[in-house]
Amino acid sequence: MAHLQSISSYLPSNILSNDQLFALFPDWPPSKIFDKTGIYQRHVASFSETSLDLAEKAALKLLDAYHVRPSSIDKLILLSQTPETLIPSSSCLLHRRLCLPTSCGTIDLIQGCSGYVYALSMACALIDSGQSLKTLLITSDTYTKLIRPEDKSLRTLFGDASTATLLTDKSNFNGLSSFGKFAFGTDGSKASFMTCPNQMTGKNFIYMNGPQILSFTLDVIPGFLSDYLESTSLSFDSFDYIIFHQANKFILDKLIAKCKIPPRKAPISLGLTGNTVSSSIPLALQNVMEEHPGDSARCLLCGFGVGLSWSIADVRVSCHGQIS
Amino acid sequence: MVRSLDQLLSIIVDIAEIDQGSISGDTNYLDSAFYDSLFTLSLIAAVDETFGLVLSGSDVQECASISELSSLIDSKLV
Repeated sequence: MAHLQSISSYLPSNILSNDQLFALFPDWPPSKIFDKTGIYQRHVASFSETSLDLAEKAALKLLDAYHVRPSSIDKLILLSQTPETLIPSSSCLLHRRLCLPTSCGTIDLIQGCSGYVYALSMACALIDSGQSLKTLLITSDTYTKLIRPEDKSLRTLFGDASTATLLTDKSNFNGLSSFGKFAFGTDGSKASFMTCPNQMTGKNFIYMNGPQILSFTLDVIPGFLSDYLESTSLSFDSFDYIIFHQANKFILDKLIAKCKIPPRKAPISLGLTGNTVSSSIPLALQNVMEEHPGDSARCLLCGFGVGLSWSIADVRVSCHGQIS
Repeated sequence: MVRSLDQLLSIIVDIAEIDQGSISGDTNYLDSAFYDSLFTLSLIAAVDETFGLVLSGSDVQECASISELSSLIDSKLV
């Protein structure tokens, strides 16, 4: 049975602070930025630093911290909407950098804010079907490279990050972790709300219609959550935490209030990172694993955004042994 | 018949942080100094909280006046 064993992360060293944004956009004072978005700063990959570089660093942190031999990894999943290359698949390049064995299968997934749950579902399926004993799941995105320098809103919201999640067969570990039901949704008719055509040419930039994304979130996600809870005979009380994709504080506050979730159960943890797309849920989950007082925590993960695409996972994580 | 105009005016006064008397139903908010994407986000969220109705971004962006937006809300609530 699949078990989420541990999470590590890597954030680029370059930081874009609210003060720096204010210097660029004089009508956007730091206090207003924080008040509207909940973000103090965001990490930004340097010109020469790619999502593959970030992915390698997050993966090596995890392998080193938990004494995992690269030769023991039998599946590698790389989740990124900003891969260094499409041909060859970036997961193959990451495989080489991590010195993984030739018997290790590699998979690229191209999903954004809902993607971590998709990737967990795939890792879970590989392990539960006996195709993997140890899967390494990497998220890595560098959206900041696709943002127009004069785009105040997007430069405020997005930051770069990478995370590494180790999933093992439970027979390898005596923890309590286990997955419940996954659920997904898609509305491709609203794909135009957030786009970046031909991003590989470097000649196009991200477009996001914030009001339409907010409308979608408030319109679709509460019902999606309540349908999920009804179909599983669960309630928000069944979980220690409800971990949403960390889009921005404004959307999360409205969503949490509309769903009538006690705010203490729904962490908002994007203050020092901004919206890190595929990495936002694992970063928040890593915080929970490091700070939750008990031995384990049951978490409902909910991704939503670009696609438009949305997703839910029910996961119990061990909170002892997680290295910060 | 639901009449949302008074509540809508109150919502906009709060979001835009302006004086009560500075806007009316005839105000074209799209041309106002307070109109930007943050205003639109706040308006969509506040209308949802007040009326239980999720407007689309284009609903807000295509109405010529506060009265027109109010009529749209009324029609959706019927």
